[in-house]
Amino acid sequence: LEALATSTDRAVPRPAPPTGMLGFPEIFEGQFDYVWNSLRRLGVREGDLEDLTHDVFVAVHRKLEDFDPGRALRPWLFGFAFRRASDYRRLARNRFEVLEASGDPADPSPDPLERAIQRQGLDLARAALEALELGRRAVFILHDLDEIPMPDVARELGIPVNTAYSRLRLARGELARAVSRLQSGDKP
Amino acid sequence: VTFDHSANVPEHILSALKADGQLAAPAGARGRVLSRLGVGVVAAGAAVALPSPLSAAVGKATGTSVTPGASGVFGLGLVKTLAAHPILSVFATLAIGSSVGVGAYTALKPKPTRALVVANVVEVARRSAPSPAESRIFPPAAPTVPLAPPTAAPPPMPTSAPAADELAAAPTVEQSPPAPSADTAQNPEPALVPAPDLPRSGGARLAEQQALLDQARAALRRGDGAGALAIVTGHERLHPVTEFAEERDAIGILALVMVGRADDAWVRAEAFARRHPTSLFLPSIQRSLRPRDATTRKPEAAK
Repeated sequence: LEALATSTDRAVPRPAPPTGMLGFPEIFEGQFDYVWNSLRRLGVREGDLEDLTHDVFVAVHRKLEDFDPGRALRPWLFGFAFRRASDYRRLARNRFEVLEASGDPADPSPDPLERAIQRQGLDLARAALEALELGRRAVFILHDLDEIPMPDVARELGIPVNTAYSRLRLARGELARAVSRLQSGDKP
Repeated sequence: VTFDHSANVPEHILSALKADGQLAAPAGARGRVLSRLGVGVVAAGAAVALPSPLSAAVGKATGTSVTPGASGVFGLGLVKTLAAHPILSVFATLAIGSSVGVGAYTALKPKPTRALVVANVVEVARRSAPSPAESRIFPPAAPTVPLAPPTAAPPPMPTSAPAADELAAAPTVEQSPPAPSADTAQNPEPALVPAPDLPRSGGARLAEQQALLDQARAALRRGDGAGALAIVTGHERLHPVTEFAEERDAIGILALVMVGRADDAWVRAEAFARRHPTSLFLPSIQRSLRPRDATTRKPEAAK
């Protein structure tokens, strides 16, 4: 590692990836937040986001040459995030309650504007999203939130288009139900 | 073939989730991940647009297997880099909006590290402090949020809590600003219809205002930033001068953040910090303007 660190001072140029347009640094710089947010939406705990974001970019770097420049970048990245998040959640110790996850134990301030109105009501939306099974959630995020065309969604997640549509429909229904459930039963 | 895009997911939930996806990762995260990836991966591209202090820090950090808590490795270089980050610098300008604000804030939240960062960032922030332009946040016309005419609105609930609860379950359309009907009902002389704020604020008027703001809070609570914004805007028009300005403005800022108008929220927050330098809401507002994940980093850093 020492050698690795010092070698950078010499800044050995590396041949550009075959895409010809997007190098890893550009992807990292431009999509860091996107990957971070995608992992978070996929249920990765705050404290683990750095690790998993790191893992995703390692994988991205490894697979960069496979990237077809005709594809949209974000869905492709989301595929990495999805697979990472799936592995992550498969570990029993990472199955957790998320409804309380945004509580901030280090900051017990009583009301100030109701803890910024429960973190601006986003907690509700997040909790509802968290209620979705991961496969459905991924379709929902890609299509309804990131506004990716369905064929691309299906391709990046490696599922048939019909399956993707079916998951989307289920996800929307589940989400709507989760919202009303949380709204009605929500007492701090 | 078109696919039913809206289905039955509430629109404000969709927009809240979309806005949620636009958040920036915590300020230090990018640098730490970068350092772990190692310059062998990232800096190899030579022409990377990385801030030079960060690159230098990366060089130092790669040898030492950096953990998320080890932000000290980056030292001042990273602090400077962070200062260039728009979110942090606004956070800082907010805090230095008045020097009293800084004092009050650190007194309220005795967290040495955070206070230190604020202090470090002050220099940069001072240079880049935007000029307050409040008018563009809540334009007088507010064309995007049609408000019901005051006379058509139902009288507000006398007490705040039930009103808020009811509205929490009600569809967003319901949120029209209440008319001054509570007052006019008791006043023998016919009041002017648009009812500018009366010089004296009777109990009924105060309750009415509080109910309105409770509705705004309820809207925020369920993720309806646009609804909250509409209520706040209506309240602003009905009560330009009010004891509730501080609370109302705070809610307005949170609502702006929620609907994704972060720039407006920042400008507004800066004005807020000047106007209410000792406000108890200030820390909450500051927190809402920063990436929400940032709070997870502070416990270990505070020691």
